[in-house]
Amino acid sequence: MFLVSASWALAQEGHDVDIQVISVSATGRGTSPQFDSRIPRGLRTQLERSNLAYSRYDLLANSRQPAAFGREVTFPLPDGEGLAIRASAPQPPASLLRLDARILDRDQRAILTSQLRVRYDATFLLHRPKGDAALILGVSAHQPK
Amino acid sequence: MNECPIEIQLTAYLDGELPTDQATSVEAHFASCPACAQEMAALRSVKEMEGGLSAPEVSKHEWDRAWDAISKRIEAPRRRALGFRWRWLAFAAAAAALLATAASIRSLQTRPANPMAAVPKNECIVDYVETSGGYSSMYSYSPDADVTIITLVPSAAPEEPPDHASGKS
Repeated sequence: MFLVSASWALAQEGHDVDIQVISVSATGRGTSPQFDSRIPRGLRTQLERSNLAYSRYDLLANSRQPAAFGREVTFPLPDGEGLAIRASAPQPPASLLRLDARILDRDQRAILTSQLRVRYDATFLLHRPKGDAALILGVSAHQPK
Repeated sequence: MNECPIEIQLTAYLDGELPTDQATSVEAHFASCPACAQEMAALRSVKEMEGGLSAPEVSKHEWDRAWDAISKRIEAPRRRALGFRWRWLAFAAAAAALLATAASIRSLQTRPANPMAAVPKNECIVDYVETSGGYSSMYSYSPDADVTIITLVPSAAPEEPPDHASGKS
């Protein structure tokens, strides 16, 4: 019953885009990093070539949420933080999606507010170093399946 | 003007390149010479056709064949004086078509085969980044990884981004 209600509510709001957030824990320093095999290949390649230079990458979460243009969806992050993403419809001529991405602290205050334009399926990284470790978020928007 | 104007005068008249006095006398000639008036009408229609030409795709084989045909026409003996003008007209039409085709081919050659090919797969444009609560941020693009990275660090202990810093806030 809940699923039916949720689907109905989503249909009413619109399902324009899927937002995907892949959370990765990065630790240590090194030149030959080890990767959790669950990290998607595309993101792994980006991490390998990005010169972030951590020695180990572990997958924390891989979430994909449907969203309507203009409405914010929130992804939980470690330590009570969150990542809020709002997508806007692609604008011609480049047909790039506008994404408003905010990192929220545990009190739901935005500690980072950003606005980007991205291509469908393109991934950008939010890098949040904490000492020798870091939280890395691979963020992308996809056309609904 | 009693004598018929030569071809080059007609085309110059058509292109508005004749001095005013000559243009006036050519116009006067049209009134008394239906053949020249008819030829001017034909030239004008060719010019209009040229202006409205779309640029078709032409293969190398068709291109070579067209050039061969034109070469043969140029080299062929001019048998009749009356026929010369119409042959010249046909040549002008063919040349106009070839010019349009050449322009089309040139534009095809200068345009990337796929306009999106030059755009990074992970294209990402950072319009702005703001921080609050004692944090600062930097963003960078790593071309090797084709990825944009936004780094968020506490302001008290700023940490340089890994590579290719391109913005701070």
